[in-house]
Amino acid sequence: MRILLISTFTMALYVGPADSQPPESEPAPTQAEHAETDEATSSGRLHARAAQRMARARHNSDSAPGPDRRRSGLPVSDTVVNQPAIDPDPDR
Amino acid sequence: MFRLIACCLFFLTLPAPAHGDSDARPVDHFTLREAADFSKQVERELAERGAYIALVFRSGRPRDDLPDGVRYTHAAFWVYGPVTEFDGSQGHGYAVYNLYHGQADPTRSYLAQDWPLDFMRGDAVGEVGVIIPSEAMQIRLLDVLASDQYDNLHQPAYSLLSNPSDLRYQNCTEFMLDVIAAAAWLTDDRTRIKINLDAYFAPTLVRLGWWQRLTAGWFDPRIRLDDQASGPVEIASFTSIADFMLAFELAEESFEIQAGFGE
Repeated sequence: MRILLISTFTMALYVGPADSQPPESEPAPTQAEHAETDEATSSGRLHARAAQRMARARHNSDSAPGPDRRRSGLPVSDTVVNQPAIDPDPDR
Repeated sequence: MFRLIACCLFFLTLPAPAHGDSDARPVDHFTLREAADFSKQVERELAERGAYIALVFRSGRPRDDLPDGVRYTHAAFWVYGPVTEFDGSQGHGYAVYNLYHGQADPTRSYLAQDWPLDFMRGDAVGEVGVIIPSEAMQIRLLDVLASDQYDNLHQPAYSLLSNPSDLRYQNCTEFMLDVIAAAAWLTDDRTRIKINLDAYFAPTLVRLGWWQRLTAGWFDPRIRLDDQASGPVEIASFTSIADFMLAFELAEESFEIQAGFGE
């Protein structure tokens, strides 16, 4: 364990960060295409997929040539969802 | 006898553990109606800003019980998407993506998706912290959440005070930071993520006395400090994550929302 600690510390000190550049956040189309081909494994994953599609659609729409579009709000239902989530730790 | 004395001294110096840290069980400090109203208030504020994903923080303990520099005890991703109305039609709202520690074994954690009401039932303060990622970062974060990367970033070994630059343990805020880093650097290699975070992320520092350091883990198994150096304890928090994201233009804004029922 001590060897691992020294190793990590030494890398950070002498080699610098693995990417040697600060984080950036331009959208990554190749990663998204890969993500969309994954099998959905849960309803939670499906929810994130739906948000991913909507966010990308808005981004593409904003990038399209034409009049300047300002981001608009999103509709929210008045319903308060109170359904039990799937418990992944049922033996507790 | 020594442990009994140590126990008494410990409880004089550190608040007892409470539900609502990264715990799935509700605190129910407020009524169910108040929690529901607050959850919907936060949903509306996020939606007004056009957020498909937001980082939301709550406190399961009164602020007086928290160390200096720490305002919240749990963090989760709120993700916009379809919800089913009472009449079966489809509306829209937010789902919540959490890391919770277990009940029988609080040193292990699991990932769970639930809803804003569940999140607010763990709130003891009537205030949440919010970070709205930049539009590009929202897409990157959703790419991670919608893929297997999200599960790959989970380290089930849980520590309430996990060091965000160390691989050994993880809590809800460190998991959130790892997902942010995975989206920013386009990798789910946690070793690489930790090296980058060590270089670019300034953690929140929590000062523990030697007695607290010595005894904390005896009485709360969620506190494991062997991933920390000898100085102040380093953690990820609302403030440090917001500062990191704003500094590198990964976020548009961060703010706090007070519950409307207090007015």
